[in-house]
Amino acid sequence: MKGQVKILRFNPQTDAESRFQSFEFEFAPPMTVLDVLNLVRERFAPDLTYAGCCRNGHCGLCGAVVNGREALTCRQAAEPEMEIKPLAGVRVLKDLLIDREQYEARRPALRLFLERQRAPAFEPEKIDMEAFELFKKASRCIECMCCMSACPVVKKKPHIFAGPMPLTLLARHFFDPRDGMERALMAKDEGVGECIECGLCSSVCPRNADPAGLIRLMKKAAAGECG
Amino acid sequence: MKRYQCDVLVAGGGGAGLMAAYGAALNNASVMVAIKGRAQRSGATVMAPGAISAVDDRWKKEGDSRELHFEDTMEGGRFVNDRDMVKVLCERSPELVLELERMGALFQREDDGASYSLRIDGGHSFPRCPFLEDRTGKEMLKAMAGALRKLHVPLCEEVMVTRILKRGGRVTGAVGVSAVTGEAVIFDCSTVIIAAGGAGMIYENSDNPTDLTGDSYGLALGAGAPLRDMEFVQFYPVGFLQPPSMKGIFAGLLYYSRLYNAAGERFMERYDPERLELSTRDRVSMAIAEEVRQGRGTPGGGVYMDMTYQEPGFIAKMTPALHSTYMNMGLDPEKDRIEVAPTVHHFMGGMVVDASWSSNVPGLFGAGEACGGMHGANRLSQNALAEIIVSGMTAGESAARYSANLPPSFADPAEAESEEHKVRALLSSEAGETPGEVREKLRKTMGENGGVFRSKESLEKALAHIAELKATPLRIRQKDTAMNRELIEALETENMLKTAEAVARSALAREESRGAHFREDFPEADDGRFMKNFYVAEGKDGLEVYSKSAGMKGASA
Ligand SMILES: Cc1cc2nc3c(=O)[nH]c(=O)nc-3n(C[C@H](O)[C@H](O)[C@H](O)COP(=O)(O)OP(=O)(O)OC[C@H]3O[C@@H](n4cnc5c(N)ncnc54)[C@H](O)[C@@H]3O)c2cc1C
Ligand code: SF4
Ligand code: SF4
Ligand code: FES
Repeated sequence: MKGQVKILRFNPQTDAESRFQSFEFEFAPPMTVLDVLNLVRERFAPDLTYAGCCRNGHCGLCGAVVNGREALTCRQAAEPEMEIKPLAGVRVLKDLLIDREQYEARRPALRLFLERQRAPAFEPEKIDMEAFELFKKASRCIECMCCMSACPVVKKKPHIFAGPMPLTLLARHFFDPRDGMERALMAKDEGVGECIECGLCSSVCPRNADPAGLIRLMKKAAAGECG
Repeated sequence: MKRYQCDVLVAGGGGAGLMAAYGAALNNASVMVAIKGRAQRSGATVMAPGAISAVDDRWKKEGDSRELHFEDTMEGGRFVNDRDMVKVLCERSPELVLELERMGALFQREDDGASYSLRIDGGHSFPRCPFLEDRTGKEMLKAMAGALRKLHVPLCEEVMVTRILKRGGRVTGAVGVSAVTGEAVIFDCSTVIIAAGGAGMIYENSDNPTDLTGDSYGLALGAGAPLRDMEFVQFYPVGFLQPPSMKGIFAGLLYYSRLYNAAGERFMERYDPERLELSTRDRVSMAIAEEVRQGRGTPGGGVYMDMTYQEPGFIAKMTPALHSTYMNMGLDPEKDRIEVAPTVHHFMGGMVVDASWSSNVPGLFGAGEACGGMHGANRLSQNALAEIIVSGMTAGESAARYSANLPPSFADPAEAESEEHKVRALLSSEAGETPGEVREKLRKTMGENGGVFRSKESLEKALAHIAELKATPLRIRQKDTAMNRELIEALETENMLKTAEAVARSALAREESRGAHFREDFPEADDGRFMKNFYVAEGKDGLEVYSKSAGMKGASA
């Protein structure tokens, strides 16, 4: 069966604006969206640029908007008719390749490491198991940015609201019972209160990190402690 | 051209590389990490679901001991492991598991919140491996990357290290190529730690990520450090054959499935009537390969893995992650049979180092899958995640000690010039084959001739193919220097060919079967002739193989 894929292309060295380019391919499941991209690159467009390393949902590099929905291209079944665009709300370097440095620049302020005064007296130390569950959930994030592309508030308030990905990364430390930093204050500074709780981020998250749920809990804490 | 200065350069940003940088930083070396991919987003570590083998009085099961961990590891390696390295592994792993928690990780605990939950896996005598969910490797990396950022260790991402530079026999720096700009990058440093992982991409089927192209081995050979044990390549019996993007990825659990050949026979009945699919991994791999060879394989060259006999909902409940993988690629395990074949998982061989993870070249160290010796002829599960923390930390400390009293080192800028020249030459070449075409041929010949089954004849065939491919000029279709994946693939291809040749030459020399290495023409182990290790070094006329005795048989710590 013939398939048809429309890919939004952009080359900063030659293009003033992005444009869709269509390719035909042999639709033969099992087949992922990444297979289709590889096929197009191999057969028709050697310069088609997109990221990805692990092929199986671990590296978080291959996110794109496929038929209007954010997904990891390596973990999304191909369809006979597809429209593929780069993730939204972030600068495009080339074709589907996005500029991650924008978010890297925010990273140092989040202090994404364990901050504590004292080492435990006994190891392995005793951990509050309830908090540990939330720590685990937040730690599933692979930084794929699918949630960032889906979130309506990120688009409206790019400076005031850090967005679901940085907040999920922060949540790992927020819920780490060992951590001694004022994470609630940090969450507030990152604009956690701006979240409208639409749940779109959780609905596209490929790793069940549930950013919306984590953000809701942090929002409460931030309001209580600092509001 | 970009230029960086440091005492210690770590090439590779998986678990071993990040831990090495941490070890060097704690010991006051100025250190940086060059990563072909990005931190936490490249290499095998991020994909490892398993656990970290570590025996400690604070959590061990009654009867377990470090001596037993040592013995299990030697036994798994069929006694050709480096005993000193294994000793360090067993001694240091537990403390470093705790160090990972100090760096920010948390591992699964029992309900009391304090005692570690422990996993057991094939070859280990006791449950002795802390873990977290099905993403232990990722948890380790999160802790390491966090700790490095706290220490302000620069991560130089998307730079492929292509060559280690020496003057007067010592390391003086390294050069690389930026995957973003295509420009050369030069590192002035007296010390390099190679931690660029394995080489799954030289095989048709592999569960490795796409960046593991044997760069560790190519870099080591190029710098004058020999490799050892390259014939020992570990296979997992069931990797996907379809779709192409997932070729070789871990396809399922044998205890929930039955295997059928194309004739509809449950062929394991013939190979291991008692244990069937639950036979050892090596035997299941060989059985599948044998079925395919006898002409009873599927169109894609494998067998069918069948889970359709399970109750509805069972697979989704027991293996949620795998189930979502199936569904996400358009397969329903309740209806569809899945085509599978053995897949390359791990390289036991690698650069020769001692138990301080120093090579024979002054200033050159190694860590992780880049190095050989620890696992001998076969690796126990969960020993690789222990290896990366132990080898990383030890190499980092050794490198810091080595570089401490040396003056700043300067690389010759002409070396960067020659790297850029090479890039330009690749970009302008019009004749030849694309890196994709060359790889496909290489991967096919290694799968067919250097895979689960090997013989003199097949290995010679592989070597002839490799020689042909080495002589084939590479052509790059895309001419941009920036963000040109094909360009990086061309640079990788050289390492892939070298690694494949090292594997085939070592496999040819080992005229017996041991651990993961099976010779059809020599199906038995031959302790009399082969209690030794094969080494590969770069000689005047290409790669040369030689051997040394592996020490005494038997295991005692
Ligand atoms: C799917 C899978 C599952 C596994 N599961 C387990 C498990 O459960 N338990 C276990 O013990 N082991 C497991 N292993 C094995 C284990 O994960 C690896 O052996 C180990 O993680 C290797 O770590 P490393 O740091 O040496 O290399 P890697 O983690 O592979 O990292 C290599 C790094 O080097 C970089 N690099 C490559 N070339 C260059 C270059 N030229 N210049 C600069 N950087 C470069 C890469 O981008 C990457 O950052 C698994 C392996 C795979 C593939
Ligand atoms: S729940 Fe909040 S963070 Fe998530 S998408 Fe909606 S507004 Fe954005
Ligand atoms: S929270 Fe989920 S969707 Fe967002 S970056 Fe992390 S893994 Fe991706
Ligand atoms: S390629 Fe790694 S997540 Fe898709």
